[in-house]
Amino acid sequence: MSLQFIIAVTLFYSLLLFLVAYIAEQRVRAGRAGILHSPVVYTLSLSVYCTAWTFYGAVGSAARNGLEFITIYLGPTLVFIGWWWFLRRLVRTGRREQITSIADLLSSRYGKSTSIGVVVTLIALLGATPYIALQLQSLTLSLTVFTQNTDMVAEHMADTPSWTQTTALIVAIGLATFTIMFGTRNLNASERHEGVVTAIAIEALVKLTSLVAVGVAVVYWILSTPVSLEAPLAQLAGKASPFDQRWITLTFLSGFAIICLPRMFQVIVVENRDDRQLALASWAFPTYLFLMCLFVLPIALFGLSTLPATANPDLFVLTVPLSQGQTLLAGFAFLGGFSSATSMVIMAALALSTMVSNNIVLPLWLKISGPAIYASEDLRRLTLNSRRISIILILSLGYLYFRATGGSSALAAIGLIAFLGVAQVLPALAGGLLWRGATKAGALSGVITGSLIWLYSSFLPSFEGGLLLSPAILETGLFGLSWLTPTALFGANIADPLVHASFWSLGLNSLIFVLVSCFSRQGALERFQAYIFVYQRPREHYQRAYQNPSSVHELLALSQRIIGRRAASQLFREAARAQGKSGGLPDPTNEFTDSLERQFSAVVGAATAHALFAQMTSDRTVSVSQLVALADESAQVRAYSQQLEEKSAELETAADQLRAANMQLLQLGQQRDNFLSQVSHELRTPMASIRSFAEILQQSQTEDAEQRAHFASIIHDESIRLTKLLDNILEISFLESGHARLDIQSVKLEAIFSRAQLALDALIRDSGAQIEINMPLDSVTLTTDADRLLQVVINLFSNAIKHNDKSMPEITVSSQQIGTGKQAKLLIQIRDNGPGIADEQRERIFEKFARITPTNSKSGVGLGLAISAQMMANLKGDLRLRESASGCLFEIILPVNLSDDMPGSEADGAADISAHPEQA
Amino acid sequence: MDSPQKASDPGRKADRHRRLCDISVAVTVTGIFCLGTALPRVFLPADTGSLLVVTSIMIFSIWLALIIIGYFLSAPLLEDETE
Repeated sequence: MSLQFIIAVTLFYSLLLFLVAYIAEQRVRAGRAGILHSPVVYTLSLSVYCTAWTFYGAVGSAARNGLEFITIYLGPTLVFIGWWWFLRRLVRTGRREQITSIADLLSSRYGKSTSIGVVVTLIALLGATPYIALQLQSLTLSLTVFTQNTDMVAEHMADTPSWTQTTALIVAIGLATFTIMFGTRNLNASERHEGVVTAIAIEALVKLTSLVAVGVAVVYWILSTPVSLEAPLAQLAGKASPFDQRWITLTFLSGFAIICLPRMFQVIVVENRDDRQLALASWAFPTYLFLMCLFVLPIALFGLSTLPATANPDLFVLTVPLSQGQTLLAGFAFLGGFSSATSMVIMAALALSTMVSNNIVLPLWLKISGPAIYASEDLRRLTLNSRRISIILILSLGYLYFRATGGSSALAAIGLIAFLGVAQVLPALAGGLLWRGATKAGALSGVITGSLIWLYSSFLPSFEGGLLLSPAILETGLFGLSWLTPTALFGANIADPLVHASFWSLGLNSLIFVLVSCFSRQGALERFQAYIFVYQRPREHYQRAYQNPSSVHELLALSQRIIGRRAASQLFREAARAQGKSGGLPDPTNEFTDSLERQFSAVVGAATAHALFAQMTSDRTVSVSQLVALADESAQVRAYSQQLEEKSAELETAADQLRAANMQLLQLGQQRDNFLSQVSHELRTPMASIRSFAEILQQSQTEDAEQRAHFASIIHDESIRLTKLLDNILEISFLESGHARLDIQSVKLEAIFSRAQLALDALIRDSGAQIEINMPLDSVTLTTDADRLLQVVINLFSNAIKHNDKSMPEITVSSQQIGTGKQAKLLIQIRDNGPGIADEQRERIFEKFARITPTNSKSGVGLGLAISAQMMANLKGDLRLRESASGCLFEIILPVNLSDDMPGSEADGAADISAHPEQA
Repeated sequence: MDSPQKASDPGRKADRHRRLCDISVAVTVTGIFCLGTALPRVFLPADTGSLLVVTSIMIFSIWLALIIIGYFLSAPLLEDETE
C-alpha cells in the first residue's frame, strides 16, 4: 500500500469527519438533534481518553512492561463503576452552574476567583503541550511505517524522513481548522459542541473496531500458525507486578486523570445534557475500555515473537498486519490511530482555548479596558477571537515542542507526567465539592505547591540531556542541597521517579490544602458558593443578594453584547413573563440577576462574569465606612424592631386581661340581674299571699273567729317564710361580700353531728330516718367555725331527709384525714338513699335559687346549698357533689386546723375573712 | 448577601449519610479489584509465563464482573434526584 493511498484515504476520512460535524450542527440548529443527544453518542465521545498514546502505546507498553498498560484503563473503570456518585455530583454541578471548563469550576467554587482559574489553566497548558506533540509524533511515526520495511521502523523521530515534519505541520493546521470551525463557530450559552462530539463518536467507533479487528486477526494467526509465545511470556512476566507501588500509583493517576484532564472534563461535564447519558456511560465506557484492552497483550506477544528485535513495539498495531501481508487491515489500523490522535487534539484544543480565553484573556482585557468595554460590541467578538487564537497558539506550541524535542523518547513518558500534572487539581476539586470548609487560599496554596513539586521532580527532569535542568541539579540537588534532589526529595528513597513525584506532589498538595483551609477564612461569595457546591441544593434555597443591582437597561445592553441580541431578548422576555409582567423588561431582582450571571458564566466563565457584574457596579461601590454605618443602622433598626415586638406583646397581654375582666364583669352583671329577678320572684309569692289574706280580713264581714284565725295563721307563716328568705339573702350576701366574721375554735367532730341530729330531731322522728356514722367521732378535733360547719351539716341532713322518697330515709356518714401537719384536711362524706340528682342538674345544684324538685311544701327557696357552699369556701374548704350509683353523695373538705391557714385569726380568736387575700 | 443557616437545611444530615454510603461502596469496589488482581502473584511463582496469563485472566474476569455490577448500579444513579 503506497503512502499516497494512505494519505488520500486519510484526507477522505478527515473530510468525512468535517461533513459529519457539519450535518450534526445543522441538525441541532434545526431542532432535530435526535440521536446526537443520545447517551450512546455521549459514551462514545468519552473515548477521547484513548489517545494515540494508548492506541499505539498500550501495545508498546505491554511489549516492554507486561501488564502495566492495563492500569491506564483500570483507573477510569474504577471511577466510572465505583465512584460514579462523584461523577454525578460533578456533572450535576456543571450543568446547574453552567460550567465551561475545569478551571471555571474551581474558579466558581472558590468565590469566582480569577487567580485559581489562571493557575489551573497554566498547569493544563503545561501538561497538554507535550501531550499534543506526542499525538503529532505518533501520527508521523505511523506514516513512516508505510514507507519503510517493518523491521526498519525507527524508534526515534530523529531517524524519520524530513517530510514527516511537514506532514505534522499539515495535520496540526487541519486540526486547528476543524476545531475553529466547529468549536468556535458561535458563542453558545450551553457551551456544547454537538458537531465536534459527533465526529469524535465516529472516531471512537473507528479506533475500537480497527484495534479489535487487528486483535482478532492476531488471535487467528496465533491459533493457525506454529508460533511459540513462551519466550515473550516469560520475558514479560517479571516486568510489572500487579499491586506494587507503581501499579497502584498508575491506577490512581489514571483515575484522577479521567476527571481532571481538561478534554475529559469537557466531554464528561460540559458536553453532558442529562443523567441518562452518565447512567449509560457508567458501565458502557468501562466496556469500551475493556474491548480496547482485550487484544493488546496478544498483539504485543505476537509482535515480539514474529517481528525482529529492532522493530518498534509502539507500532506493532501497524507492523504486525503489514508483516502478515494485510495492508488493508494495517491501513484501517492507521485510521484508528489517526482517530485517536485527532480526537484528543481537537478536544484538548477546544477545552484549553475556552480556559485560556475565559480565565486569562478576558479578565486581562476587562482589567485593561475598564468600564469602556460596555460601550462597544467587542466583547462577543473578543471572546470568539481569543478562543480561535488560543487554538492556533496551543497547536503551534504542540508542533514547536514536537520539532524542538525531535521526537525524543521523553515524549513517550509525557503521558503519565501530564496525568500527574493535571491530578494536582484533584484535591481542590474533590474538596470543593465535598467539603464546605475548603477555602480559596487552601486550594490555591495546595495547587501551587503540588504543581511546583511536579514541575521540579517530574516535568523538568523528563527532558533529556539537561535541557531544562542541569545534570548537576539532577545529581546533587538544587544549590547542592541533597534533600532537594529532584528524584529524591527530602531524602526519600523511592526507586520509581513517577511514584516519588506522585507521593510528594499530591501528598503535600493535599496536606497544605487542608491545613491552609482550616486556618483561613472564606469570603462572603466564597461561602455562598461553598453551600451551593457542597450541599447541591437548588440556588433558590440560597438566593444571593446583589448589592445595589444595576438597572435593567444596563443589564440588557450587557447581555446583548455577551450572549447575543436574540438570546438576550428571549431571556429578558421569559424573565418578565416569569415575574408576571405581560410585556416590557423584568425587574432586576436578585433571582434574575443571579440567573443572568450564570448565563454569562456559560459563555465567558464564572470569574469573568462576576468581574463584569462587579465592574458594572464599580461606580456604585460602597466603602468600608459606609458598610459599617449601614451595619450600625441595621443593628439599630433591629433593636428598635425588637422593642416594638416586646411592646406589642405586652399590649396584647394587657388586651387579653382586659377582655377577661370585661367578660367577668358581664358575667357578674348577668348574675346580679338573675339574682334580683329571682329574689323579686321569691319575695312576691309570700307577699302576694300576705296581701291577699290581709285584704280578705279587712273586707270580710264574717264573724267566724276560726276562719279569721286561720287567715291570720297563713299571714303569720308567710311572714316567717318571708323573713327567713330575707335572712338567707342577707346571709349569702354577707358571706359573698367577704365581711363575715368567723368564730374559730377547737371542736370535736362528734359535737357537730350530735348537735345536728338534735336540731333535726323532730324531722328525723317524723320521717323515721336512720343516720349511721361510720367513724370514731371522738378522735377527730377540728379548729374551725363550729356554727358554720354545723349549719352546713344540718342543711345536708335536712335535704337528705326532706327530698328522700323512701319510707325509711338512710344517711351514712364517713370521714378520713388527708395529709398531715399543717396541710392536713378532713374529708367528710354524707350519702343518702334518696332518688339522687340527675346529671344535667348537677352543675347548677349550688347556684342560688336552684331547685331540682317541683316547688312544694317541702322545698325551700333554693338558697340552702348555695349558702353552704359559700360557707365552706369561707372556711377554706369545699363542698361538692360526687357521682354515686344511688342517692346523693356530698363531700365536705375542710382544713383540720383552720387557724394555721389564717394568720391573725388566733389573735382575737376569730378571723376576718376579708383579711385573707384569696377571699378579698 | 443572605447567609444560609444550618438550621434551614434539613437535608444536610441525610446528605452526609448518603455520601458515606457512596464512599463505602466505592472503596469496597476499588479494594476488591486491587486484591483480586494481586492474588495470582501470591500463589504463582514470579518470572513465569503462567503468572502473566493467569493474572490477565483474573483481571479481565474481575473487570467483566465490575461492568455487570456497574450496569446494575446505573439504575440508582438515575433515581437519586436529591443531589
